[in-house]
Formats: sequence, structure tokens, C-alpha cells
Amino acid sequence: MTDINCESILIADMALRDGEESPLGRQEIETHLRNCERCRLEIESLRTVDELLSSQQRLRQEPNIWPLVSARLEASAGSAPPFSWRVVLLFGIPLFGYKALLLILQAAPSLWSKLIPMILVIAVFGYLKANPFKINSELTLRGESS
Amino acid sequence: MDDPVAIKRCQAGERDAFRFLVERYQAEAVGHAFAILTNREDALDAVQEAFLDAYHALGRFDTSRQFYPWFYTILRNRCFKLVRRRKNAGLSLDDVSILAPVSEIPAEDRLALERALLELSSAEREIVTLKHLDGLSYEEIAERLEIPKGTVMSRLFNARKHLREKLALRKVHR
Repeated sequence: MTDINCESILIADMALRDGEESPLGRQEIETHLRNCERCRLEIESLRTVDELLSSQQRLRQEPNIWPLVSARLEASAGSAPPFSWRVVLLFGIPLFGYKALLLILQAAPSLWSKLIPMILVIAVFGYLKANPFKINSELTLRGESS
Repeated sequence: MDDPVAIKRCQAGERDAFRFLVERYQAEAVGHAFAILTNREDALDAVQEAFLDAYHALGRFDTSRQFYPWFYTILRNRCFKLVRRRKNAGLSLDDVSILAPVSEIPAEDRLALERALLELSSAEREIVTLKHLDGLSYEEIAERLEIPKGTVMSRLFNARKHLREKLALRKVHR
């Protein structure tokens, strides 16, 4: 029996014991268990854990957090809305780009003719997510083992 | 008042309606946060923050859904943020208790189970307690953890296996 088979059998058996829809049928599980002692022992020990867990209850906590939540809500109601970087990015980046472009054009008009091809190349590289000029450095001679 | 009415009132800006939701679910929420964080102070902080997040997000809440499963996803995000933050904090587990004392099993077995549960990872402890202490179905767990049902099965299986290993080390035999 392979490990993958055994694990799927154990998971399917767990689902059945939990009263859930199992990915494998009961018949399929029983056929496997007849031939796999390892799974039989595994299931037996996992059942012991289940029995121990099934008799347990969560310890009930009795907190009273409303006064704290209420105070925080009160405080936040009077304060300014939370600072959002999204707004800064949304308006800031286009404005910064526009201003930088104006400065570049004023300072050196010929720079624009160099910038456009560079921006286009960067955009193409970004789109392709690979360097189209990449040189294959792993060339081997015919008959040479790699 | 029931949940949908309270939520609609909250959406209309009535803070007292939110008090109803906080008081209704705080015990359950602290129990869940405590099972993930194993620290009462952290659990109270996480629950408080989660209720504040929920209050601010209630405007977008679809009232045809149930409140607590939705709130739980907010709560567990808060809890796991704290878990990541305190990764190397080295908390003592000596006075931590998740399980209620029940008479059916010997006290030493319950204590061993409690210790074994505390030795699991937060995520494993969360899934085991949701299944066995809350009695949730795989479907309900999948909804709470926002994962597929198949992932619930494999995570639960691995968590139980780890729990068995921890218990074997403590020699619990029934």
C-alpha cells in the first residue's frame, strides 16, 4: 500500500466517523483496511483521540468588553477620519509625474526624444516579464555532456 | 431584538444596537480567541479590536448572512496578526485552560489533553476546537476559515495526528 492511498483512506474514515460526506465509500475503505494493518492500527489510535475529545466542552469565559468597545467608539467618533495612503497615491503620483515631465521638457527638450524609447523598452520588458535580449550562456558543443 | 434587527439599527447609526451584538457574542468570541492565542489579555484585546473592525464594516454587511460566522473571520484575522507579532514571545502556558472540567474522564487525562492541545500550533488548535468543542460541521468550518472543505479534512486530519503524538508522549491510554 502506498502512503498516498493510506492517507486518503484515513481521511475518508475520519470523515465517516464525523458523520460527514466521505470522499471514498465505506466499501472501499473496508477493502483497504482488510489488507493494510498499518491503517487499522492508525485508525484505532485516532479513535482513542476522538473519544477523548468528544467528551470535552469549551471553558466558558465571562468577559464584559462593552465598556471598552463603547469608549473606543466614542473616541473614534470625535476624531478625524483615518489617514489613507490610497488617496495620496491616487492624486500624488499623477501630479508628481506631470510636474516632473514639465520640468524635464523645460530644462532639456532633446531629453524627451531619449526618454520616450527608454520608457517604451521598460514597458515592453515589464509586459513580457523577461529580457528579450537575454543571451544563452549555457550553450554546449555538440557531443558534449551537460 | 434579534441579530438582523440589531444589524439594521447599527447600520442606521444606533450604537445601542451594537451593544446588543457585543454582549450576545463576547463570551463565544473570547473563547475562540483564547483557543488561538492561549492568553487571556491577548484574547480580550483581539476581541475588542475585532468588534471595532466589525462596527466599521457593518455598513457593508449583508443582513441575509449570519452575524457570528462573518464576525469570526474578522476575529481570527486579528488573532493571527497577534500570533505573528508575538512569535518569539515565549509565553508560559502554566495557567492556561481551554477545557471545562467534566466528570466523565479522569482529571489527569483532561490535563494531559489540555497540555497536548496547547502544544499544537494556533491553526491546529483552532480547527480541532471548532470541530470537537463547538461541534461545527466541515462545511461550517470551511466557511469560518474561508478554505475549501477538502482542506478542512486534511488540516483536521493532520491536527488530530499531531494531537495523538502529543498525547502518546504523555502516555494517555483509555
